[in-house]
Amino acid sequence: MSETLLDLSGIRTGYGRIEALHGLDVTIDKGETVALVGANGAGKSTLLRVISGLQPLSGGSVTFDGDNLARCKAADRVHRGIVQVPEGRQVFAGLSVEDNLTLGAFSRRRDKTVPDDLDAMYQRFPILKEKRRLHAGNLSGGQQQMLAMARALMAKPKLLLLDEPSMGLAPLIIDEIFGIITELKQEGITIFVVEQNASEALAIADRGYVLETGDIVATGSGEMLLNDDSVKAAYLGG
Amino acid sequence: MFSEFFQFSFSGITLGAIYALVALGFTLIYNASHVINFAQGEFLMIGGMGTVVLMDAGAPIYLAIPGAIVMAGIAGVLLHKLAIAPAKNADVVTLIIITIGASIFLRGLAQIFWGKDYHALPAFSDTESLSVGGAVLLTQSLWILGIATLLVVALGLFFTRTALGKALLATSMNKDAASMVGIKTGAILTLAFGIAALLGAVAGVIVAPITFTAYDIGIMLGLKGFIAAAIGGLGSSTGAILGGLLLGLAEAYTAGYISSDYKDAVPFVLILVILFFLPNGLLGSRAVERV
Repeated sequence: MSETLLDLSGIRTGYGRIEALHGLDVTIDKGETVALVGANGAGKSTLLRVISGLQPLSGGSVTFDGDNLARCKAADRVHRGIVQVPEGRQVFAGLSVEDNLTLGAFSRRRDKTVPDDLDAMYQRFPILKEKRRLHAGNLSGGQQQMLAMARALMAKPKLLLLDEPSMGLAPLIIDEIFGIITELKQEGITIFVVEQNASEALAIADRGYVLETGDIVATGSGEMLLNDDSVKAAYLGG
Repeated sequence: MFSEFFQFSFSGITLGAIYALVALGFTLIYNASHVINFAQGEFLMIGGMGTVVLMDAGAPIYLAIPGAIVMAGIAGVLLHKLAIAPAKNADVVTLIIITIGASIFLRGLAQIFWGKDYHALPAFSDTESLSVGGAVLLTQSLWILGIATLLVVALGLFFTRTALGKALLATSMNKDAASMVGIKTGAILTLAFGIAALLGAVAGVIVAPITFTAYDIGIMLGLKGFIAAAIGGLGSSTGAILGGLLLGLAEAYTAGYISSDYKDAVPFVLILVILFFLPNGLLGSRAVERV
């Protein structure tokens, strides 16, 4: 029996008077890779913001590693190991690549091993080492995505949240990014990936959820969802 | 002829250094929160008047000055914690209006508790002036330039060498992403207000021996600092320094060559002219962005 890392139960939240999530339940076990797929505006990013503590709840609870996170602020959640790679990269454009990476480790900045981790990160992403003195804003979209992922990894995540890692990238780069995600998965990091690019995401996921206008409408193994006719029709282009 | 020019340049650069410090305070808070903090001038008042009050209470000047600066720093932190932070998701214009309210409040408190009189602080050095190229150079000007330079260098090191400084920059660039790497963005904003207040207070103390200090000096000095920041291009630290010096010199030359009656009009004419031709200021943001 595997251990639950993240348990979302009855999550409700909204923007003003419009409710975006209508009481949904999601669980993620330790070491699992889980995909959340759904159309634009279904509430995928909102759910990730809830988990990161950036979007207040109007109902339900977030339990991580056995603790209720109701009173845990965004910055403290990073400290606990919930780290998000936000939609659209959101690197610190005016800071150097290296500064972006060291800021990634801000939650453990007194940890003596940070420089070693930086070296390890440069080995994993040689392109970032090459460009480490450049402003992050000068990198290409794919490089920025790698930087955003590397920045998140610098925090030593227990749960890595990936919001649309393939958005706006060329197909070759998308393959590279999903290759990296697969590597991370093999290293045992628990991953929750949110994607419009449903086929790629479900292909690497152990399990998947399908989100439609604020409700979970289907769930199952990645393979099962990939072959589900209604999911196919709605998200995989027939 | 030249001695006159030197004379005006000395006083222009001296004033300019003060404006630059005020402008840096505006820039810091603007970058961190997009708020234009119109209470910035009051920190100068607290710096100057606080020193006067502490000296009246018997403190020697070398204790009164740090005391007043700390007082202003606390005022800056409280301004954020009590007035700005509780307004959470209010839009920027609302926050700016809050800072105007806060400045009136601080000025009122000073008027009630510290009085309405004008005070002069003694110059920091016993020798009050030197003669350079036929012009009179106040030793206080050297103090002002030295201290302002020191602060600018310290600020530069803070932003380029410390994790906290970089965290502040990161927060100003992207608040959500900063939260996602574990930066407590609320605390960072408080820190920005604190530092801006310290900068203002130092400026208020070092200028007091030259210009007098009183409960209401914050209005004009604050506005001029804001103009310096806007001329330089809001958000740019180098621009703030440049804008401050430019403004100081323009004011001194106008006062010297035309009439000192027009001195206080200079900043307002300058901002109109410069923003007409360069809407983003001298070094306004040319943001690097790629989507």
